[in-house]
Amino acid sequence: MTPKRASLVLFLAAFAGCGGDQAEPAAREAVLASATPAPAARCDSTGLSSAALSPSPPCVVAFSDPPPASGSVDELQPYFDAYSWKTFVALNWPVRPGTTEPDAATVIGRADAPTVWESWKGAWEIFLEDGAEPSPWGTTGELPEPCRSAAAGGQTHVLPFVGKTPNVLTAFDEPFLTGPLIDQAGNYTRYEILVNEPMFDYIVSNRLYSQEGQIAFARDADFPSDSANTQPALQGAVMVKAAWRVVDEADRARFHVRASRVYTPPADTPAGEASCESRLMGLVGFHVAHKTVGEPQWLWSTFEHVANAPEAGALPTSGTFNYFDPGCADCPVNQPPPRPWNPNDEPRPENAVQVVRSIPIPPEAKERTDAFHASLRAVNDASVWLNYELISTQWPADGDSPTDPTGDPAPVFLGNTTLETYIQGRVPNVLSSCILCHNNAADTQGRFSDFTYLLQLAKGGSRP
Amino acid sequence: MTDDTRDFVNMSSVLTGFAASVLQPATDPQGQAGQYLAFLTGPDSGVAEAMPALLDVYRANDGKPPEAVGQAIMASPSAELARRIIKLWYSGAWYEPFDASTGFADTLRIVSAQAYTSGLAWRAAQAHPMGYSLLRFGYWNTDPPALSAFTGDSTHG
Repeated sequence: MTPKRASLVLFLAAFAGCGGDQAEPAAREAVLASATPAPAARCDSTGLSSAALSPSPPCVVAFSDPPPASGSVDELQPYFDAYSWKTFVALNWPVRPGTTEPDAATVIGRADAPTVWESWKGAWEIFLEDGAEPSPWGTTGELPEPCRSAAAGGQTHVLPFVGKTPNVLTAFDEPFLTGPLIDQAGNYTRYEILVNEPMFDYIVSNRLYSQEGQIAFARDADFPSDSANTQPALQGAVMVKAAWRVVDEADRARFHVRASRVYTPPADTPAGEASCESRLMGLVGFHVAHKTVGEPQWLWSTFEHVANAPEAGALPTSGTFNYFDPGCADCPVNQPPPRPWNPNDEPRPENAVQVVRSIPIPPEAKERTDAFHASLRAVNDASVWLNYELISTQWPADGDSPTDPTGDPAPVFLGNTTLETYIQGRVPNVLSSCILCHNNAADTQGRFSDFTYLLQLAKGGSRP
Repeated sequence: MTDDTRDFVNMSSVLTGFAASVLQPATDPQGQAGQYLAFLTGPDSGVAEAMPALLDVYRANDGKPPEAVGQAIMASPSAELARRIIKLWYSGAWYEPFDASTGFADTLRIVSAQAYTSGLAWRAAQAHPMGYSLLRFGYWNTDPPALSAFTGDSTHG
């Protein structure tokens, strides 16, 4: 048994006697009681049996209530999936206006509202064209030029990407067959990447927001790791990647929506013309990556809108999907749309991508989704969050391995149909693995960037 | 874990020199040992009927020092099968038995794509499979971890 795996067993034993929130997931009173406004603890430490809604995210995976019987992947996966749903709830908790903190005066699901993670710093605010220092935490960066006049109405939510990391995977590495994702209405899917305060602070304090800063840094990145309720409080790096599609007012009941400024950089259009348009956007894909003491390869949770796409196999011949046409049995699946790609075009439904899910959602993830949906339904049986489901959680089975820097991820394959549409599959180290892909991430100087491609977005800047 | 799986893994540890916890970790996303045992006891290997006898030799000597267990296996009628299992673990390849009429084993096949990348030969060399590496850019610029980190056996390196 390797040290990491041995330590896990000891960890399980240590937690075996810990109590957690014993609330029956479906019990309305218990759920509402647990969601009663109160000062939010930094960490949720409830165990597997709890599906209570809390504005506090789990700082680590709680192997308790009940403890797993063994260290097998099948035994442990539900604990990671419970962690993922608790993280999803905490990050999507309504944010207290004007802050980056959850609003303890309300409960997730009562009404759709701007969320905690949406108050974090977006990549477009951190990696500026001139490599300048970003604006402080809690403030909004200077909007891209085309969006400044459009922002007069007070909307500052900017969606800047047509590809997940357009200047990294498409223009730098090009290891994958990738491209834009066009929905059934013919609109381009938009993406954003945001980081929490510890991750932002690490980038700023080490000047990793500019190429010159990275040259001076001259070592591998090592973002802070989370641990459980230590004193002084250690808080780990978290990054969110979100995918959005254009929706209309009638879709408000089915999607978490934001009135957004959709920014298209000049490099993403054939004519090289930047644009910024006001759109109502609905959330369709949601990645969370979280670095913890026990998981130096980070924990990777991914969620999707339930109507995105069907699973491969017996495809449906009816129904409504965001990215699948049941009436087109002959459409090639998971293929990028025809070129030229121009997100500023009028919507072209004929270019819609026919998406299917290559890796089925595991039953344990569905079970966890059912548990948290019951809690959300107890708050509001029309909550938009009932339209989101966990796909799975990828975690390192041997995070401290001296020979395998990827930590032997479990499950081996995991993908999100809106964020990895064209790289789904079961080819190791090429398709459908968050950890194996991000293990190759480097900064602009070729140094390991600690499982994030964000640092490749850095541009110029003056030497310190 | 079934008794057969546990005994197969422990026997494989004796045969290969790798720790059982490397061949089948407690938390094991890859499941290579289980896949090998399923192959060996399934219809494609051609040795399903011979496997119980090999495991019986191991069980009869379980508890002895690993060297003694290995000697007992190699002195038994199951020795040839044991050698093929060693090759399977190290290379991911399944060799047909030695053919006296041709002088060599003329057929082999890689059991699966994962079997190739999981071959112990790469770990014994403190390296990675050709064409497949999980190591980060520039790893060749530093010494590899000690051999014992790869084998799980502190008597190596």
